[in-house]
Amino acid sequence: MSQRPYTVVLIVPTGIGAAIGGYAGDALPVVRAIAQVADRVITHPNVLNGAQLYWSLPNVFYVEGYGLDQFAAGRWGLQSVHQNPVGLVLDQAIEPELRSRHLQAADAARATLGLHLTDYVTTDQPLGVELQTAASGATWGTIRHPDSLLRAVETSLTQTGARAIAVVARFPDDTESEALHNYRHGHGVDPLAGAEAIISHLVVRTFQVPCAHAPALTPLPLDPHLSPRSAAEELGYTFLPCVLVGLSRAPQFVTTPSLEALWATHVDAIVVPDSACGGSAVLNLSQSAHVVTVQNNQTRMKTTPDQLGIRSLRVNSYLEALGALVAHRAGIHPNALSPTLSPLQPFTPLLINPA
Amino acid sequence: MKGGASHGVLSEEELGIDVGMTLKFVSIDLPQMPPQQLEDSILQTLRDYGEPLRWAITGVDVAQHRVQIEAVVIVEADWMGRIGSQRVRMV
Repeated sequence: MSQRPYTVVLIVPTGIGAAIGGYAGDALPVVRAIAQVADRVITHPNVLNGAQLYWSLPNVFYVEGYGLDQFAAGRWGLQSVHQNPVGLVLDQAIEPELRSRHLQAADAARATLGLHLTDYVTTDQPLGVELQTAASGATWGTIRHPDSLLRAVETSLTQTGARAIAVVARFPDDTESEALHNYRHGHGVDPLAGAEAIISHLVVRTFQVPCAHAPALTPLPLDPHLSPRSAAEELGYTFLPCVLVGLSRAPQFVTTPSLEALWATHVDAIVVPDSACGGSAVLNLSQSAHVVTVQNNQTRMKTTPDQLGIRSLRVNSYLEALGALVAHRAGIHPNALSPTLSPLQPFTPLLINPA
Repeated sequence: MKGGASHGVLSEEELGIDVGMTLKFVSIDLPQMPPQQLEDSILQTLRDYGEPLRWAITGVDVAQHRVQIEAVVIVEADWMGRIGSQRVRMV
């Protein structure tokens, strides 16, 4: 008898100060664990990207956030691939030495990992990344020349044969900022993350291809008190290797039904921080999938499932979430695993318009 | 077109003379409603000001039955004539 593959979506939104996953790919252990109890896991670059560090998992789908929202809404499907030729788009604002570092990282991914990269494209204008923080505490940002980014991506897709896009934009060096200091010590909100998401969202929205972003930054001076959660971003000169690895096997987006593609109706469960249930993917998938919310992964958001009318199983930790997924997959109600179980009661219909 | 950004109107400088597309931050609040209706309501409201690119409900005012949403929208040149509601704060 064939069984439905158990499919989990794991979301840790970027740029909201998640205690786990708000730093340098520090939710990667979570997805590694979930990948052991699920047949398929769909997650996004913020979870999987650890700068120089990555962990490629055959049953994990690397799906950029805009594409994940479209998938959750049922508008796009995910088509597995064996490989994507990855196009590299570099911001014209990157200085020559920093640019060489990124090109060497790309060449290293070709030579050492065997990835297929196409010739790189440089934007025809500096992208002009600007960072902001919203009233909620979430970070966001803009680029002053989005058209230039899109022209470069179009060139990469149409003239080099790329089928996935890695963007490297020059981000502002703000080495003295309190936000950066806190981030390096494992506190606060990633000051870059919101703007990174905007860049990749724009590319995916426009071209419907996998995309992820790595910021180009001047290397920071040594900090002996660096948080382990942030340390992956201080191992080298670029954050590019994880992006190239993720994109090299990221599923393609499809908009017409096909037997091979994965659609929102295939999702069995979604795991998300308890305080961050206000995203499009959660709202949509909560209509059909089992929602598990993790309370100790605190964020700056204030949108719990009960406040939004979302039915969820609230657990304290990802360790508990793993148990919840195993039980759900096995068809075991969580109440059956607790010491007390109330007797069934006679059904009482709700009275509508009693007058 | 002239106007202060705090009133939801973009200046020529903000739009960029040589650029047909601008990314803008938008903050709105809406009445609380069931989750299956919330997304449609959010998208419909945001589309008054541009094409929604990234958004999230960031807070819930339980007492007032309202939800706060932060978003980034794409403002194409041809959206200019349609911007102007006081309900939206752009920064």
